[in-house]
Amino acid sequence: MSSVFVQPSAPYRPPSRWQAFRRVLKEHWQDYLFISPFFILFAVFFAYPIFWALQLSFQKWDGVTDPTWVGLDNYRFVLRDPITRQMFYNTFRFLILIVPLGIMLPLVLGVLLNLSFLRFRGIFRTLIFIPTVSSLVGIGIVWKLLFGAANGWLNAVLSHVGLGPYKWLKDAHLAQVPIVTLALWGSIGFTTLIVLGGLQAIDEDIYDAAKIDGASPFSQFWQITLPLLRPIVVFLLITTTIMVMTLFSQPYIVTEGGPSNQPLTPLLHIYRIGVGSTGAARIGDASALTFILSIVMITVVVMQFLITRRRESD
Amino acid sequence: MAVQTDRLSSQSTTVDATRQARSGGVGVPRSLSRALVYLVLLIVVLLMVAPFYFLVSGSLMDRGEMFKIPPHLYPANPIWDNFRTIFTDYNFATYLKNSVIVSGAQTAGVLFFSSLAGFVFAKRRFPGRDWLFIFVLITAAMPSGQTTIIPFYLLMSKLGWINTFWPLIIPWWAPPLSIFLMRQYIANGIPDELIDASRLDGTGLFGTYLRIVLPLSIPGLVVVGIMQFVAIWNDFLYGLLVLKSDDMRTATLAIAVLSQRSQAATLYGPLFAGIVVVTLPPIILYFIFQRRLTSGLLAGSIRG
Repeated sequence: MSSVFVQPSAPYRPPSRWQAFRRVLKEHWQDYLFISPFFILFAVFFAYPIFWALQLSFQKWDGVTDPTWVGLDNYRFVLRDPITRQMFYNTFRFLILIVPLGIMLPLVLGVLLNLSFLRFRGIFRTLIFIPTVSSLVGIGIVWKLLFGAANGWLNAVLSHVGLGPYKWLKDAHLAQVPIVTLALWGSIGFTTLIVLGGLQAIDEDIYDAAKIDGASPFSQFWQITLPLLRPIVVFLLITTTIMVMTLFSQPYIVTEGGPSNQPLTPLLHIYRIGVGSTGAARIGDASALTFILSIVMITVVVMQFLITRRRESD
Repeated sequence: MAVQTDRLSSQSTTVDATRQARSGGVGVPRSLSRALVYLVLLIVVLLMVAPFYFLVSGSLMDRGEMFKIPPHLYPANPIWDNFRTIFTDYNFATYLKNSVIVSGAQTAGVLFFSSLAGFVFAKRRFPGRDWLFIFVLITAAMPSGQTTIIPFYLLMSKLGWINTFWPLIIPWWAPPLSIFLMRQYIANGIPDELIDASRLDGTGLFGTYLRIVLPLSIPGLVVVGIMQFVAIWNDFLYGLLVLKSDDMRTATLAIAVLSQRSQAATLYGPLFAGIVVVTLPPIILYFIFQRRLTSGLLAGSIRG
């Protein structure tokens, strides 16, 4: 590896490993020093906590008294715990509700924004992107009032046309609606921009050729645009999946994790039992969940990546 | 960016002309389908902007007016006082100051460390460089960051950093994505000759970074800096985790706490005024640097 970088002017003498190492260090210590902050911070604040979580997941600990070793008990408990099951079920449901829309909406918006006749393109793009930079917590509070109780704005409007009022935040099924809409509202500005970037990278000549062949706009989209956007679609799939699996502010603010644990998300659950906002901290359980969740997330992402890669090579 | 859109639109107009010539009158009339496109985009934009409208008009109402049925869409008598109350009665000056300290200190560190690392990865050759850079890229794609909040929290209490700003500043100083973006920017934006010339003058590596690389990478730094500033300004999870006392809260955290008081006790006017004040700085930054930010992100996404 290092032999590639040996200066050609140096007289040939097979250097010992140690000598080579010292010379590299002497020549390049500043290079290593300047990139070291990333590696140090990563090791201390991200890699170490993961391994610590693994260790903690085999212990029972409330953060105050001495921890005791309990083997796989935490995993056994967590996997049987109805609340955890509910949490995984919720996540699955959120994935089904959010991911398809989180991919389709940006694709449609991106294509519309890229249409050649469109005027005020910049204004549309700017306004659609605004939610991306705005405080999810602040807008979450607005959401809470929009959907909240009988006198919330949405219910007021609905009852005006003879519908409702619905208990958006109190009903276990309806409570999905504010979370899903807020998550989509907060994310499609960024994803639309990504799609737009992908569309602008496509060479217009391809479309010219297709048009000469008499392809309609829709078949152009299916046969040219979408295949060429495949890397972008993979990116959207992965980012939206991660977004859904790490939902926190939205359920915390809008429904406070209720009603009856319905929109309880993994991070919210881990936060609650780990910090002990409801009773004593259960650090062992939280760590077991942390580890399970990390593995699930990495597996999902890697699988999505591999599956889409394979299809590409077909 | 401007060049890119120009090229695009001029090409597309010719394309459009051919399309017009070919498709005499297939299916939906052209003007109708165009109107439909505008209508869809208009509805989407309205949905994106509506919450801000409610926010601002709510911040100028009192409690009674806010929950009138049918709802008032705009305040009959705007109560500007709400914006004074949040500073006099709700301590918002402290919260905003905290937010500025945290976001400023984190962003400054990110700009320094990611441009330094980006420079080395872009312009220097040394053994293991490519493997180390691949490692950076892999960590950028790793989704597991937030799941480790509990051991992160325990580590912070071990370090004695609970209820200090350090946990929100130091661990985030070298985000892989920023290093990647700075590397791309420096690799494409700064010619090797400039750096070689400076080195031949006898300037050290760090001196070259300070005198040549840093001033020339300002456009890239603006993109990375704003992304970072906005992210930390809007952070909720980690603030909630480590900031315990009222006088340490960031503005984002403060509005969350304010909103969680029992419904009856919440004064929505001041709360909404608080949200307006919290939401505004990132949006202002975005509007100022909009063009540069969008093109920077677009460029990043095309390459990435």
